[in-house]
Amino acid sequence: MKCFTLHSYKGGTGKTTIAANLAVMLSQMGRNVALLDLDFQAPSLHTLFGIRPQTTYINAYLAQEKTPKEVLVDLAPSLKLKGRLLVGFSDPNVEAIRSQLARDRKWHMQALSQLLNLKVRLQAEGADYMILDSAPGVHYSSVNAIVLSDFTVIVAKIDNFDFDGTVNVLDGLYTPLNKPTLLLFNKVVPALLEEPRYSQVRKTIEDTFSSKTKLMGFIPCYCDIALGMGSEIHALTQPKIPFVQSLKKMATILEKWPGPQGTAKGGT
Amino acid sequence: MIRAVYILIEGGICIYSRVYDTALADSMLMSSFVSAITTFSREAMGDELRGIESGGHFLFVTDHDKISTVIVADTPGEVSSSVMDYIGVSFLSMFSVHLQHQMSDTSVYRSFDEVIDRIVPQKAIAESRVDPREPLDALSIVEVPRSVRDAALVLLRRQSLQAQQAARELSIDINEAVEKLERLVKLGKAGRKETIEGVVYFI
Repeated sequence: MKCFTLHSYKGGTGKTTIAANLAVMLSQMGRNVALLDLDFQAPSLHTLFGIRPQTTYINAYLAQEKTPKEVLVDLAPSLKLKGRLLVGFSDPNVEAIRSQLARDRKWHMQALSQLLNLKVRLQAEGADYMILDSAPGVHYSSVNAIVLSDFTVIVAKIDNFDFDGTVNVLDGLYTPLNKPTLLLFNKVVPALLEEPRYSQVRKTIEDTFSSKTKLMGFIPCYCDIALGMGSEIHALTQPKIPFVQSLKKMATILEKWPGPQGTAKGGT
Repeated sequence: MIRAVYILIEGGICIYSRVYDTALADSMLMSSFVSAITTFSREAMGDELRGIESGGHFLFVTDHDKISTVIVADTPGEVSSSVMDYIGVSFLSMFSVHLQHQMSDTSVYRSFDEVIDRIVPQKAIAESRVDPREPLDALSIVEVPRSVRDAALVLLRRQSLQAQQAARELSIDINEAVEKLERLVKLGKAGRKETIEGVVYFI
């Protein structure tokens, strides 16, 4: 099983949209996928999947109040997917978000312990992918996700905020943790992908990141996504649009990406 | 349970310590604390066996000639005048020459460990427990050396385990597992306790 996090230094880079679409795409390919919303400060996966408020959330599993079976919903039958798609939603109620913010270190240690156990369990149950949609920046929940993952896809926009911030997290977090990363630029203004700008952009990216991470690719800014208003998964509703085609290339890269090595039972 | 034994000379300087519970804090810091308590208790209670409760432990002090013998224990019943006298007198008889010449090399007193270990019941040593100094959370794992991070993650997932279990999960031999887990204890990221089943590491 491959376990990876979608992370970014700043918010609004499109992590959740990419996570949901990739999860659906991999499941359409027959892979068994588990997708967890670990952005407890701003849960949004439920909106994208159009899920009505439910009573059990991943928060309850982390607090040892519910079992994985109780908090993971298999959406494959309703979405007519080939593989399983187990989704764990984060509690969007303000009270839950507030209490999540007040958690101490011991609670987060417990949460990471629970996530490590879930990873072992999902692998034993035949999952091919465990995808974590994390909070942006450096929070307990995002660092938990990174520690849990075999590798991380850092989703960034092409601007100086993201360049500087991404370098910071690569140097201060990923390097000490010895975690491999892939860098995916999203919402790229199409003009930047045309010459002569493209060569300049590419050189800047290589100069800044080539020694620290591996470039996964560029996803242009598509109006189709904005028009969806965060209420649809385009891999399901409009599979032919360029955004989905771009993501298919990313899914291929993930398929080829080596799984965890040198760890017993595929990792801890 | 007896947690530690200290020998102090005039001026409150600690020249010997045998600490069975490393959770008692750094030996040097503890020595300074013991020294202050010893001076205070002498002024307040005189020269006899003196006992003070502090931080959930009982601290007993007795003076023997130029040294003060200090024992830290869990309960008052574990320490008697005869034990205190035996330790103090034994120390004086073994090291009177060194004490007379005020030799600065305190390593010579390490040979007193054997005497102390005979006096303090083995059960007390076996029960010694070390608590983690900080939670082994994701932020803490960033600071863990790469060579022991795999053991840290297994321990984090299981929350408590024995070296055999860690060895099995990591597909390494038991000595390597013990080494990794002990390193985590030393770093303050994990705890260690003795149980009937053996040594258990925990977070």
